[in-house]
Amino acid sequence: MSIQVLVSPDPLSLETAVQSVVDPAHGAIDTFIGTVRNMHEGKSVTGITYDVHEVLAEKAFHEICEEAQGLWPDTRYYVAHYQGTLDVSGISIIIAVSSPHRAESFEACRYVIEEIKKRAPVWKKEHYVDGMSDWLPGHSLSEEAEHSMTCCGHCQEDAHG
Amino acid sequence: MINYSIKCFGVFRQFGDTLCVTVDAGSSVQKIKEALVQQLGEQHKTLVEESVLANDNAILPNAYILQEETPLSILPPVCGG
Repeated sequence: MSIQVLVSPDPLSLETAVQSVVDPAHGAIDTFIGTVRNMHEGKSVTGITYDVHEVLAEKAFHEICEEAQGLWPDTRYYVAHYQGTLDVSGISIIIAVSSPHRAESFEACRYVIEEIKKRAPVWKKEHYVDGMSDWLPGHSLSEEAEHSMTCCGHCQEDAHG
Repeated sequence: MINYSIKCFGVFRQFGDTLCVTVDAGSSVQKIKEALVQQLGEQHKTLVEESVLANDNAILPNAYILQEETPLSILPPVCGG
């Protein structure tokens, strides 16, 4: 499989990510690892809870990787996102991309993480040293709903403009 | 009338695991969102407007017409990674 994606309540494995994209014809593997930072907007963070719509998140990951394959052909992808609560430095996401040469891997990996941040149904609840917690703001999926969906056949007339 | 159970994600979890709204059969997603605002209060109008509804397969446009009872989710603005 050239694209593997998953949402997991288990610790994410970099070795699994790399092994999933190994290809004898590929000379480059680029990885991105997202981790929990101990500070956000001046507040000391103790951890983050990741809430995920599993089905739609995996669908979004796959669609984003397919788009990247369209932009950088002959690339392989692995995306894993954690679901649950992590302490500081815990790994929330691992992306691995392989390609024949390094440039495509770097660019495709960057594309995948940037699109995931904007489009994947995942939410963060930060926990602070004072015992308080906050859901973080994010990107609305409204545009995704209105413009990136081909007509469903159940919409009001002219709904898609 | 149809009763929809809407699974909560992210900041909507402050209202519980699910929300229930009752609307006319053949209502649009927009109508369901308006019913949610009525239920949650005007102070949450912007949040609901910036959020989207989804079924088990896809995010639904506001104009999407729901004809029968189906499980829905409400997805607030996202911040994964």
